Amino acid sequence: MGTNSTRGLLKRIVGTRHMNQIIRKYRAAAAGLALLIASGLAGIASAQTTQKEDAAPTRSRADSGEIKSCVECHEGFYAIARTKHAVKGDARTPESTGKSLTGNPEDKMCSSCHGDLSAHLKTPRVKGLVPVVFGKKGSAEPQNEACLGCHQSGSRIHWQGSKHEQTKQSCASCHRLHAPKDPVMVAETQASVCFDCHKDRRAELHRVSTHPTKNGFFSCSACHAPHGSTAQRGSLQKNTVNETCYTCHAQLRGPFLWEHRPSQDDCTNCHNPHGTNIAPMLKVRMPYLCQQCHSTAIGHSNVAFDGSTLAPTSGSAQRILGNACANCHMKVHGSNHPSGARLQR
Amino acid sequence: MKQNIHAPLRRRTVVLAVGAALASLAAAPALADPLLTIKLFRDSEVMFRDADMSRWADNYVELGVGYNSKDSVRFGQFSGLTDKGAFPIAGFNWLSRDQANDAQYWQIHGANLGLDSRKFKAEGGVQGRWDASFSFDGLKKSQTESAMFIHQGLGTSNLTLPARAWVTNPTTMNPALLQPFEIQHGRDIYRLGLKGLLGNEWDYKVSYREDRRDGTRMTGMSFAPSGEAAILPYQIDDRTQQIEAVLSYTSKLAQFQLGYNYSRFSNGLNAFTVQDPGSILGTLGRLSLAPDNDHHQIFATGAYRFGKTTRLSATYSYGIARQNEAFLPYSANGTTVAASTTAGLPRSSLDGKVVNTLLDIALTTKPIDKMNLKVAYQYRDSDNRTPIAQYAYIGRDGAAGVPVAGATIRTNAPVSTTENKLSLEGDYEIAAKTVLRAGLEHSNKKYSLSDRTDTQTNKLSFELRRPISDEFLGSVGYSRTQRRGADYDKNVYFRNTYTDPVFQAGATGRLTNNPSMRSFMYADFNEDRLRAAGNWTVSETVSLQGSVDGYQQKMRGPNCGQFSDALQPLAVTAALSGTCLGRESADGGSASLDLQYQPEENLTTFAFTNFSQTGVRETGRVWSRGNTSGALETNNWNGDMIYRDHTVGFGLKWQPEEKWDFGGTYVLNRGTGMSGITTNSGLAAAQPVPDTWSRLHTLQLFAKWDYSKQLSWRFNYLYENLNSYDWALSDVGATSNVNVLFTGQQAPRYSNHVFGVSAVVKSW
Repeated sequence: MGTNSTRGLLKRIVGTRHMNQIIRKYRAAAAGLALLIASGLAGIASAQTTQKEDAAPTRSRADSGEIKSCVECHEGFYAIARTKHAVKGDARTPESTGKSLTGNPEDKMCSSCHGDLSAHLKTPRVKGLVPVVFGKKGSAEPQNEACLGCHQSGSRIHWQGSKHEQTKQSCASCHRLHAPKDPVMVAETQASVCFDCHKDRRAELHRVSTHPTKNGFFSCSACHAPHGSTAQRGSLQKNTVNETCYTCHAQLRGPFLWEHRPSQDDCTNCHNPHGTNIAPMLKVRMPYLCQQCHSTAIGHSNVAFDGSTLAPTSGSAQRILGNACANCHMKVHGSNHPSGARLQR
Repeated sequence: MKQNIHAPLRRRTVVLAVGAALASLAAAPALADPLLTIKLFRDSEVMFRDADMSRWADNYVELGVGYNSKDSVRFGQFSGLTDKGAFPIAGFNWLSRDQANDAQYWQIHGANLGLDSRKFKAEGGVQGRWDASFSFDGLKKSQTESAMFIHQGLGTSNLTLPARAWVTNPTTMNPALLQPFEIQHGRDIYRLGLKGLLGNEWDYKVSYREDRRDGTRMTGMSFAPSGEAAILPYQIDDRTQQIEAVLSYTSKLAQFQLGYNYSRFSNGLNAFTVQDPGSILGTLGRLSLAPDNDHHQIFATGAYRFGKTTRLSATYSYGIARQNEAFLPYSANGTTVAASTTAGLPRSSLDGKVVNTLLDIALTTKPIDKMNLKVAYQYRDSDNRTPIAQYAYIGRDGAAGVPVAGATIRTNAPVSTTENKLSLEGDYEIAAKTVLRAGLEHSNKKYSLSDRTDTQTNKLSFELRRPISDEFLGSVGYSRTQRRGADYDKNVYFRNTYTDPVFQAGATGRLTNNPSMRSFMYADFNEDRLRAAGNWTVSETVSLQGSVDGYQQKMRGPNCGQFSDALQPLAVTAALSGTCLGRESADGGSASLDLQYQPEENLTTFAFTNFSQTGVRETGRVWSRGNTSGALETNNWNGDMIYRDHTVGFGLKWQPEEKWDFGGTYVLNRGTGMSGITTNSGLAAAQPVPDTWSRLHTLQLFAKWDYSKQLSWRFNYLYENLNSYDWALSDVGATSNVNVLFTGQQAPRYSNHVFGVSAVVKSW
């Protein structure tokens, strides 16, 4: 009864035809989702309880000042010993420059980034005594200041004033400094970090026509500079959208004898590089894509390509089926043929 | 008859988005960390925020075998797994550091070795002194296996027709001679890198990258004298080389970089030659291929800190793009067909050159504790110095000769642009963790040989980020952008490129282009964008993220309904029609909801949904050559192009006991494209255009069994199903149209199961 009422309400809101389509087409997905509903709701409830229980203090040794090593309490964080930061032979690393406050040489790195921890060691249960707390619990500015103390070079020159800096992202929002390998630094896993915030991009990646990001061959940073850049928009690695695209598609750079101005102006006039369902990553399918700018009398771009033109034997079919306009005007990125003025050669 | 189908669609979009979001909210999700899967089983690592990185950090060798259930070129796109049958699974990672000096290291990493799409990387050096690296990426790009062709020599740059190519000579091709040919090409990428320190404050970086491509892609091609066109596979054989060298200085107060970039594209082929499928004369058509070109760029960038909170940065770059490939002759058929095209080329090659200059200066400061400010100025100049000359226009290689005069003379029009942009951005913490941001941007862009001589764009934006509670952070943002500029002169490009009677004084001929057309890349517009997002940490184990955004862009004239100088040579006194043609508006929006839930330490789950819609409304006008004003608005038509996408995904990872890991992910993407054409009273009622659609299901299951500390077994299963309909391809036979020889290529669809079993030996 309840289900029927709910369905009826949804049908009124969404429309009967559409609701039926949704039910039919998402049957498989709905089954999986339904299995998770109960555990999800139960989990939310149980999680609240768990959180309260975890808040109880447990470490009595911390109060007695007997701490011999940071890892006594922060055991899980010592994977940092397997990172580049822990290399003794590199004079720049925290391992080389830090000082151990506990007397344990394994703790040399901690104060390099977290600041003077002596007060925290004396009274570890008192909050607010760690000068630099990384992650969401800490303010971004001191975190980034700690990192930029050593890493202001390279692309980080443009960090101040960058989009990520303006939105108060910390280095630790993306980087995992204690992990043996930082996911954002590996092509295969980098996107998973970016998708933490850029949800739309993740969805676009699952469309039919995309770059090979899912396959680990094309990381977000192949085009984007997450630490800021001087690009006209999109925080790109290069100065312009086109310059960025020409890194892999230099065959389209020209300059051509006969240019196609939207192509030379900005690749994203026609393409969405994050993915679409119109190959090759087009924003609008042809011929309608072209008709946004073309309506000539010499030629045929003023035609209303409706359903009557789809019959393969119709007179206009040659301009809408197959590659549409590009059946003949295939040099849409420019032609270098001396007679290629109409991008046909 | 005119009908705005945007409004109801927008309403439904919102309802569906909210519905989808609620459904997903109820469905508690899932999951997380990918198990150590081979890269072929794609998605697993992209899906999870908290990836298990031991695969890249441990020393291991992975060996195994997989099985693909079906042949499918399209399924094998990017993975290289195009063939049915067994395939090897092979990969390794080995990092070694010197015991005495741990800065000295070397590392090798390989993945998917044995498949067409594979990776290998080797690096080594002394950390803190120098590092050298070499890597190889092999990548397969597959287009289709359903295309069929009648020509011989497929895969080469010279296609010929077989005997008995026509049933009805020469209008109907012989379908019995059609042969399938897989369209795919490979890209191999080689990289070499060297970087090191020069003292405490200086360092250098040098890198070389070479991309080699070979294979085929499809292209359209038109022919004469038949006037027909065909879709054909052309050969790819090219190479791109890139070098970058950077010298950097870094201190607490100042940073500086001086660098050089070089990129060169070399094509092993300069033309694609094909016998005209519509002519028994054996005439040739020839297509120019991408010309060799190169690009040099020097750049300098630096920053200096004044005091503790003020920083000035500046960047300058100067680049030259050049192209000087020898021109092809006007016709592949010599003087036989284009006999009167004897004027010769005005030059043997283009000697094309574009000089790109960038100057960027930015000042960031914190005038008071709670405020951040950024002021930036940018100068961009793209100076196209390509020589301008007159060329004969011969539509196709086999076209009959025409006198080199009047309408057959075309002049190239290299476009240059200059942009000056000033921006001011800032934020202020109006309450604890509540931040108000605002930005103002003004851009002035000048164009040569274009529809407009200049445009001015202004953008104003606001954003408020505010924590609703300790667990919930919300933000809302709005921006408005306006572009205005000089009067619109649509035919300036044609006047510059044509030597046509229509543009001669007193001529009364046709208009080449409708003077009411407004290319959206130049046209005036108003654009509004709105975005709201929320991030709710329900507990340490449950978090929710949601966002909604939308935009609307309305194009405007200018000059529609006014007199246009473009008509002056025609002595037309009537004003232009009031309706501008081309893109009239664009809008869209999306809604996302994510739920991550980890009820137990050994069970993590996630689910997400995303709905998006983009739409473009355009106006066209059917008109004839005799219409010298283009003002017959009764001949107008509208197109509402709407694209909807809905993506749903969920997954989980479960470790029931120490030695076992299980997991799975499922993602569905549904895409629908609608093309709504409506006509005005002067035209016949438009027939509906069917929707195009695609459904892509991806299911992955994986398990890992740690037999011992050194040996693990991995089991992977991937199911991917793509089904799609595209009226431009589906059910269009290769020979079904008398003017275009299609390929019979169908909209992509496949259904593949892949199994894999592999053993991983670690840290021996």
